[in-house]
Amino acid sequence: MPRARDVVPRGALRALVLAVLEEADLHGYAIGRKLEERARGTLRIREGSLYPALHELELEGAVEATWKRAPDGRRRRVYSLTRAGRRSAKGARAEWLAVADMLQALLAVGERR
Amino acid sequence: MVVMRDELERFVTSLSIPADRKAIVLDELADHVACAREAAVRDGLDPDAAGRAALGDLAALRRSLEALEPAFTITRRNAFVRGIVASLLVAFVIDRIGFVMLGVVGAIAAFAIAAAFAPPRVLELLRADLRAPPIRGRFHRGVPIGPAIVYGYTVMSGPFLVWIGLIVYRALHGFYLADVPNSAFALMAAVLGVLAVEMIRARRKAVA
Repeated sequence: MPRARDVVPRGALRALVLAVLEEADLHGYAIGRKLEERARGTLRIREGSLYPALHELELEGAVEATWKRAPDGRRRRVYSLTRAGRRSAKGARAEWLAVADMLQALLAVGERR
Repeated sequence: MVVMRDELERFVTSLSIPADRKAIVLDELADHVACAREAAVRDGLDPDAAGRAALGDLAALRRSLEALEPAFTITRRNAFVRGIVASLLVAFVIDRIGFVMLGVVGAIAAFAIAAAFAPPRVLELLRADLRAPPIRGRFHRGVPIGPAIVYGYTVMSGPFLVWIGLIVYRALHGFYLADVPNSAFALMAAVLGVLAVEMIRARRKAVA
């Protein structure tokens, strides 16, 4: 299994969080685990960057947070996308996929030489 | 779990962020740790170790939260007061040194004052305003006016109101020469430039 990366570029983390929230409203821990599951062990989401990214998206109006109760009664902050957030999610996905394509093309050329 | 909660409380209490945000951060991190512990129990691992590991690098978390959280408490009124104070200082400084080096010194001073008094994370606040769904006003639909827009317009237009007042005051005292230095327009151009760029970016994202 490849080594897990724990540094995700800031913009990329925002795009990943938005993509996960497009599918369902989730709390912070669940967002992190969902991303790690999708990455199949190649990614480790650091809490030090996840919560600031979520709060930044909240500040920008891309996500909104509501308090719910966990099964044991503790307070849980659940995030969901706003209308502006859905637009941001689409834009961020297109932007990062384009970057990935470009890097793939550029780096593959270097590898062939 | 009690020990962990105490550690969390100590950490959050020591953060330099607004008190109401501390409560939110504490509950959110406590839930995060509890989730990590529950997952560890399910997987047959040590819940205490999992709880501690879940907190990760507290120094990095502190840096990020302290830079971000104060922006949540910025209201339009707060932004307006900041804008008034900044614009009075800009007006005074440019009135005194606006002509030095063809206005370059005055322009730099105006930018520095506007930046120093700007609400924390003002660009994020501006993007939030511009990307929010338009609201229906009396005459047309438009973006909601949030703290960043309030600050921008106040700091940009405030100095001109002061200068108009000064021109009138000086005219009443027999001084009729009114020269406005180029630097007086630098801040206005910068604020309008930032607004234009962010509006275009917001539109592009909306189209995408």
